[in-house]
Amino acid sequence: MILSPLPLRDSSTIHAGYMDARGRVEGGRDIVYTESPALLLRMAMEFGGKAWFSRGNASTRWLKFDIAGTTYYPGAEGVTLESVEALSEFAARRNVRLGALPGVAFNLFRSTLSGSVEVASRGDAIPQRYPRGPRLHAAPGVYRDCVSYDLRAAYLWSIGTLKMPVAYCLPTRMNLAELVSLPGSFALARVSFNRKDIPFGILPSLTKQGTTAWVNKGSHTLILTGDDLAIAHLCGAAIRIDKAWVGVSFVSPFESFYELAIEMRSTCGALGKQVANMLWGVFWAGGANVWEATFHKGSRKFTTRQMQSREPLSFPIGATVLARIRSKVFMEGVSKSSVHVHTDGVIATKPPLLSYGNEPGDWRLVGNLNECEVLAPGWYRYREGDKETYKLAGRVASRDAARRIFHHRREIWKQSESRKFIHPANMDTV
Amino acid sequence: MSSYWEDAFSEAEIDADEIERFNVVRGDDGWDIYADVGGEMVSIGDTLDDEQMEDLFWDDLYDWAMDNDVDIDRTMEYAAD
Repeated sequence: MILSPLPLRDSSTIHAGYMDARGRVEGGRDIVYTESPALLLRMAMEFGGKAWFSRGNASTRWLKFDIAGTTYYPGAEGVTLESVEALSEFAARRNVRLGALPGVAFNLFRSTLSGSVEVASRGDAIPQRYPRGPRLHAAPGVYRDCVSYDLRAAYLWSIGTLKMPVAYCLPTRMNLAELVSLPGSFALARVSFNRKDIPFGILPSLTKQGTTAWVNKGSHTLILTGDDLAIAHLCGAAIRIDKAWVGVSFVSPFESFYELAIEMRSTCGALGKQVANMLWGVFWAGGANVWEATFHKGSRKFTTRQMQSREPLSFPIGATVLARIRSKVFMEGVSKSSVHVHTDGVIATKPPLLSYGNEPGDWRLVGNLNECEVLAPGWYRYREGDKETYKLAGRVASRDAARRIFHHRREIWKQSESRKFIHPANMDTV
Repeated sequence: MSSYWEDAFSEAEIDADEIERFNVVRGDDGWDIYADVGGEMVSIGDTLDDEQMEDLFWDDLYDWAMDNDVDIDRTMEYAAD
């Protein structure tokens, strides 16, 4: 695919504003950013309009509302008028107009290109065979004195420092060791976990209960990157490579965006951090399940229809960014004492020696936990001093309700034999 | 299921047996519940404050949904970091 610079275009200004939770709009009204979609849903039912949302496994994300001539973008966490104005000014200096935040990220990236860059497309690799599940590991139990740590701005770091091949060659013979030593490569591989609980160094066995890396029982044919294959191999999987795509001639198209994003994170508040982290999603999110909702004035009902999904814009970029995060988390942050590992963070009783830092991709100490109970990936609770926090795979609930849901889920899983092996496809997505 | 929800379904003119999922949306002033009935989303009940949410949703409708294989979607928000 060709990544091309942002063309010069009519620089007419988009007047962007911010809507607070009570519906008060400050700033411009061409497009308006806000946190929660709750008020927008009520407005759409009152005035009519259209909206778009993506639906995952047990989750909905409202993307955009068109109501009475104004476009609203919900989901901008921690947004303020100041951050909207700062982002507007930041983007305008680069001839980028505000809109959906992933689109802003993409155009800011294009504004950093001095010319067109070619990166390899996926060829005949089938993206659907790539396991998207972000969770890695959960060891059910109650633990005392844990440490929680994560990667700062993991997605920004991963895409910002990414080297992409210009093309792939398809070798007729390729062994695992060769493949994992070649950056940017991926393979169609048969991955098998047939051995039982064999210790593999400091890494947890993927055959253990609660692990949801990709597969944890039996054999599966998957598309995996070199980083993924290295982890699977080190965790005890038997791997047979059926076909390999090996990258040749590398470019670093995101290098300048990375510098720009670091500046944006410091000057545009929470909104700037969000935009900086969203570029990866532009290349990956094409396969999302997007729905359109139509609202009729004064009706509490609205109709929805699924829109045609399309492929990710660039499977190799998306998969490689994901795999680099998995790899860094597994190779640096995970040990035998890890009790919960999610996309970019770990909870462990005895963490490996890590150096914490303030840059994207550095490890960050999140907290020292007096106690941590892990039920399953995404489901855990922890106590820090007097404060108890419940994590319910992304669900938001008040503390008492969270406690009740957590206990309820614990009872269900205690009684369920199927919990022994939880496949990512059957899990909620964080 | 309590009479609150029976009344809410009745007012929204939906049959509880046809509900495929609930979508819970958190706002500044409380929680809104939407029911998905064959691709049509319907706002049900009033906006619930935290206390009502616990009594009417988590202690009542949630259990009914679990018993009847009705999914409960959460609404995702983006994270800054």
